[in-house]
Amino acid sequence: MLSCQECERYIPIFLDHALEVRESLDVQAHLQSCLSCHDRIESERRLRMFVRQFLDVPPPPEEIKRAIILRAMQDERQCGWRAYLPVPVRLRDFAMGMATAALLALAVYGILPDLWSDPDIQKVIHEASLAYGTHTTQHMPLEVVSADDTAVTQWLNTHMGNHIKLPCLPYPGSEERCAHVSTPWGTYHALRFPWRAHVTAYPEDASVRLRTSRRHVATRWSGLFHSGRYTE
Amino acid sequence: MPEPVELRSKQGEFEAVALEHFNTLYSTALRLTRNASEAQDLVQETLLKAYRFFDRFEPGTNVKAWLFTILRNTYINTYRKTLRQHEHVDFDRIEPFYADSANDAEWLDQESFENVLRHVVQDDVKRALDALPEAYRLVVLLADMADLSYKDIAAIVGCPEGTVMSRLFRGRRLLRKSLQEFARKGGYIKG
Repeated sequence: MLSCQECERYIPIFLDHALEVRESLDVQAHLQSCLSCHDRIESERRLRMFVRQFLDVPPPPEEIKRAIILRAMQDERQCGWRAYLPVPVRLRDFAMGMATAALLALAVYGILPDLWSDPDIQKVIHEASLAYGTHTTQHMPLEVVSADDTAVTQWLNTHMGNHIKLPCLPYPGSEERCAHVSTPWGTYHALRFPWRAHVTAYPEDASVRLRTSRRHVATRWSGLFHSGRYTE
Repeated sequence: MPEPVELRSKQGEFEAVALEHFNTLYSTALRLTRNASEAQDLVQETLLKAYRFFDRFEPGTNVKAWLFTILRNTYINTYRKTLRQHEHVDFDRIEPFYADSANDAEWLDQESFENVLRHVVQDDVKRALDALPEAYRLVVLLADMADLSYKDIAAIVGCPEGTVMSRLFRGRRLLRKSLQEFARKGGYIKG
């Protein structure tokens, strides 16, 4: 036999017809013998009927109903591919998303877009490497502004195919570190910021700018090639 | 150009389904949006999406629950930004399920409660329902207006059946309290 407390817990579920058969029979048995619980279930039942009765709004006229249904079916055939976009990504949200992505891309990869394809950059790098490599036995005048910097050196060695040691010293009052190497056939200029290394090579009649965009590690780089003689 | 037989058949079948559930969809939409024009738009958008994917609907499954799932998702997507601030529910601050349901102050005797129901007007019921937090209002509407089962509501709302039962219990209890409050303010019952 159920207690009043148990019965009370079952009342909403009983009225929702969601009780198991056995529990439902238990509730019915309890209700027959308990006036208090009987009152409660009647009160709950009346409340539901009452709410339903008041909220049961008259539906739109039949012709409007049919018009809405027909319009829904016709719109579906006319709206085309745009309708398949989820509502939240349409129009302004989509534009905002694209603008945010563009800003993020600019922040991560720098202000200048990558205008040059890999073959262009590789060509200049190759030429610069040859220019330097051919003359490795010669004295290389170093305009040293700084002391050793491993990250920039490694980067240069990896990408330029040469083994040069680029000393870097910090600029006074700045977080940047700089090295400047000049040969008769080219000039190499390295700047290292706390968050990226920036190396510029100026072989003979052209310049190439190479930039790493991940912390000290040149896993990705981009280039900008200017035709014509480099002028400072 | 005459329409293919297959298309005509799909249209006819969908129209029958839509007509059968239109009134319940519309009543629920009206209580959700609180505006007849927006309710019609919401129903139309719901039916448009339903028709688009009607081919994928598996016969024999619950078409009503399916339509209400679309209605609910459309409502959330369309009206999410305009949802009122007070509809945010802090579930931690609401009393535990069944915690003090035995409190006699909440369960007026039958005579007093009949008195409440006699004097509360339609606007009071609407205000009481509109004042419910969104999460409660939706399950109360789905259960008491659309006559959907706990299982269907759980699928529509995307939460376990236990959560549906808990929200229903709390929602109805808040509704009862609001109605009693209206009656108390009107002087129809003592308190």
